[in-house]
Amino acid sequence: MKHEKPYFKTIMGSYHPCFLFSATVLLHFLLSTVFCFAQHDLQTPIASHEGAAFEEKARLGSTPPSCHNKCNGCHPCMAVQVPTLPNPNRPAQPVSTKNSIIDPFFDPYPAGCGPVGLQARHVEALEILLQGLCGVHKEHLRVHELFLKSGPNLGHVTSEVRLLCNLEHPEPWTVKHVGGALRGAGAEQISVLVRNMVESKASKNVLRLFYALGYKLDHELLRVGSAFHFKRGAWITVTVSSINKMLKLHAIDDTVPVTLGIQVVEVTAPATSENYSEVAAAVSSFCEYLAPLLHLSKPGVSTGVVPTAAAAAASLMSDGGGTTL
Amino acid sequence: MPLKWVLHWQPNAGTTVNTQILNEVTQCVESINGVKEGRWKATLTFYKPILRDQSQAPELPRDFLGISLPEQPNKYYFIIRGQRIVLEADSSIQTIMEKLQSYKSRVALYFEGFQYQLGDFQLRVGKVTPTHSDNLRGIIMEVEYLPLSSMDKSRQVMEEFVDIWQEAISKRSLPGHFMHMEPNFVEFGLSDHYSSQHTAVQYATVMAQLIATQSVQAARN
Repeated sequence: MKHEKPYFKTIMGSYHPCFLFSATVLLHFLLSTVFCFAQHDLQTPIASHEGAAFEEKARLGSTPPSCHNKCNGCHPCMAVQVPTLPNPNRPAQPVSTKNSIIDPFFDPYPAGCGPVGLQARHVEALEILLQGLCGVHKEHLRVHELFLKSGPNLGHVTSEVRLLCNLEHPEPWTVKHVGGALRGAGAEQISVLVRNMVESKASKNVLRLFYALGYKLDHELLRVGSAFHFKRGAWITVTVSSINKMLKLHAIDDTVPVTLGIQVVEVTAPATSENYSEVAAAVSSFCEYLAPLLHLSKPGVSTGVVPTAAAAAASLMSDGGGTTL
Repeated sequence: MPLKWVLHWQPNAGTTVNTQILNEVTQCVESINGVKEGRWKATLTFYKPILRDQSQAPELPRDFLGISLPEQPNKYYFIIRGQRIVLEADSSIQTIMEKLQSYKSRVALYFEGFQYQLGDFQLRVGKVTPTHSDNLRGIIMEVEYLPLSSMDKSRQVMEEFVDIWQEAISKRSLPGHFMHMEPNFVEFGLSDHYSSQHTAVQYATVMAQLIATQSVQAARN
């Protein structure tokens, strides 16, 4: 583990996109949450929540929310972290199977899902909040994700690898390996799931290489949304995105949403075994600020709709979210 | 980046490479006023598929190589020569390969030696040894021409330099010669503009040649 500390220093000191994702271990903190609200939420009188919302905003303002000047004017990493869907044929099932990656990211689809407009409004509110907190502008996210599995006789057990092509920056691609969730007493106590993740940038013929090595395409997805990259105690990436499946092989312009109206919010930060605690604290503390809109939960464990969400969103939308933050 | 040619020592029929030849080559570089600059080291790894059922041999590449180069310490290169694939990735790709448990590294070789500056040229001369022993398996030489990046534009100057070098080394009456085999980079999807991927492909080509030479010698013995 001797290499890990200097390595992290490299991350801290370098602003080249590659460094962040050359990490050998990334902790994957997930903010499961779905912006999907029942119709009665829409009808809830905003006024009854106004006090709470203002309280939240006051609380939000109690700590400097911006990472402005925290890293000598650097621009944090551009790379994008995204969760994934193992089987697009069963989109909205929050099945917590060990092998599946994305399913646990979804909360159960609430009955009587609200209109798209409402959800879009909450997404917009979250983006305003994130922009205020992070002090960086959002980046558009459009990522083609390919899920490969090893062929029948390759490896003692089947292995999976993901190839991500950021369509905003088609090269390099990203190769990603996601391990199983960490277990144990420590893992039980925190409200997030921690997974080992390894990423590597690679030239765009990486799909051809993996095909040559005996891997097969299992399924593919298009993730569309926005991403925020910033430093706040750790290098944090937040993505807010929807997941779409392709109607034909690699047809990225011909997609349908897998989970209509549902957005996945993901908070990711790289860490090593040495700085895990600090990074976990940084992520938890950052997520506190999002509390008016969404709560941390383990994948598959629904927190339900955050009671203050509608009011907080309305409040954020009304003033653009900038001033008090 | 500046282009380079990677040459390897081709022993005469019936002879093998030895440290005496390596010493002579090193002295020869110094005799033509090469200024020693420091050490360099590249590592080449052969990967072999892990098969669940050994009796079934699927069509998987048998020439899957990974290379790390001193000029790009944060990068790693994969090459499948048979299918003309070269991939550049972050060095963390090696961790991903370990986690996937579908291929394991079978043999690894070091290419290591000294670096010399000679006008606009940078030379690297080194030995090829397995990572776990000192058995000399070959001698390698990189000739880098610092002012140019175009393979085509530099061809003439490179040929002239290599001619001068061959002449200098031939005076020592060693049992072999340096050989340059230029891969067809276009087949690997590489352009005329030189990159580290070109170097990786050259190393893979040299490796194939070293294996072929040693196989012939083993058969002869």
